[in-house]
Amino acid sequence: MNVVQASLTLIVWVAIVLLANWIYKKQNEKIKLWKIALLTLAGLFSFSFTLPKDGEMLRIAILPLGVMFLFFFFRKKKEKWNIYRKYAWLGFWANYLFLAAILLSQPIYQQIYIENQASTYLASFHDPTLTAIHPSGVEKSIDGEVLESFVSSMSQQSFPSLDWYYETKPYDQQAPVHVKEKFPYILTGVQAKWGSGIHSVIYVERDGKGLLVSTPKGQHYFRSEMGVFGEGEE
Amino acid sequence: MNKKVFVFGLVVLAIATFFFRLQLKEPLPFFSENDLIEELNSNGNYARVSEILDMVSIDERHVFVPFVLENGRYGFSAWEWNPSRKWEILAFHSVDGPSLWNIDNRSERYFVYNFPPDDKVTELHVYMIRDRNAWISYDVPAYLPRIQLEENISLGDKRYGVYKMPEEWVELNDRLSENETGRTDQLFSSLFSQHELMHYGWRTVGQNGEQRFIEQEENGFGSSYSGAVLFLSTLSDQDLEFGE
Repeated sequence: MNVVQASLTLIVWVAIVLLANWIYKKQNEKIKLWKIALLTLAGLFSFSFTLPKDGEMLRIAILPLGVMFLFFFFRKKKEKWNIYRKYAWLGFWANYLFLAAILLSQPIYQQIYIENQASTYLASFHDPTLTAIHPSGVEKSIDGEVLESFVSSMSQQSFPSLDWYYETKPYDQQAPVHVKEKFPYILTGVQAKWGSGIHSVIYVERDGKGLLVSTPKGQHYFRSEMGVFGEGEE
Repeated sequence: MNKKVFVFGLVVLAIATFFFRLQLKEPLPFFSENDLIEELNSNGNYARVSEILDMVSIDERHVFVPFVLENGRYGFSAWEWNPSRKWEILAFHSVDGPSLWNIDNRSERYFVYNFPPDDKVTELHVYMIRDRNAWISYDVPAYLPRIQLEENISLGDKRYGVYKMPEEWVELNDRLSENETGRTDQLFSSLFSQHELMHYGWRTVGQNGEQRFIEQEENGFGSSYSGAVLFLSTLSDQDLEFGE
């Protein structure tokens, strides 16, 4: 959940309350507040069709299960049902408001958190540390100030993942295998842009000039002209 | 008036329950050496225990017991305090090499081992490894660097021990699993299960840094009574990568 989606979802909830209030005012016969809340929530319950889009699950409500259940429950109390059903249906249609919120949040999100920019994934630094994850990685220090200008100088590039793999460890090598891992470090103490909801693992390239950012939705490779290692280190 | 008595009774009952439960949580003292040998040998295991080398309390609810079997093999058992008021055996191993003990659902992890005496084997190396991987799916490339972390445990006169998994390993694992749970759709989850691909292994090494096994005549065996104590795979040079 990111902050864009969270705020839009909140707006939908406010809209539901306002709509329920509108129905309430139009009706002559007044019912208790908790009943309204319960009816609307029950109405939300539906059989839905789910399909993924850009890493989000879109739920398209088809069968108003909640409404059907309530109808069955109040089938012998016609007058009551006449009042209740409006709230139940509001609950069902609210599914589409939530769907709209997700659809709307995606383009807004992409405007704020630009996918191919390194600063989206490396926005704030709290004691950034480089840790070797492979025997070919020598202990390196990292300069916090350099890191910030390093991040702004980076650009995203496409990468030949399979070539990297075969270049790193040729098939025919005999043990013991001496290997130089292309990304022998991970960078910690770095946070993605506030509200993005991104959790990434950041691998640092052997020469200190490239980052491979691994997020649950995919990977991004950034290169820079300058290196990120502390002074006097190559 | 009746109501007051009722409320008072309820309060007394609540306090009593609280103290009773508190007392339940306090583990009973661990077995004496003789009782422990008897307990171990009543378990219907393949070989009988002849000597208890030590009883190492990891915390007040977990005890590691290295032992020697009657057939001469070295092994260990792992014990946990069960809140239903008894000490419960989690594992009885006499296979080669260490095991990984996950305590309280992975919040703490320990390498536990008991090697027979052998002057030529001086160090135990344990590893956390995730294999290098690369793929392209629907034109989207992905590359997972190899993770290979190593800890060297010196095997001095004391051939058994409990070695806590380093913080950095635990953190790296958490980081990778967090990356995993950040997902919202399950469709592509298998592609990025970085955390589940992690495995652990070991090898023993002699003075010159070469791999060296400890030969034992009898075959080892292991019984696990819970998933908390895991065998580790034996690694050879082919399974490892070296720097320069």
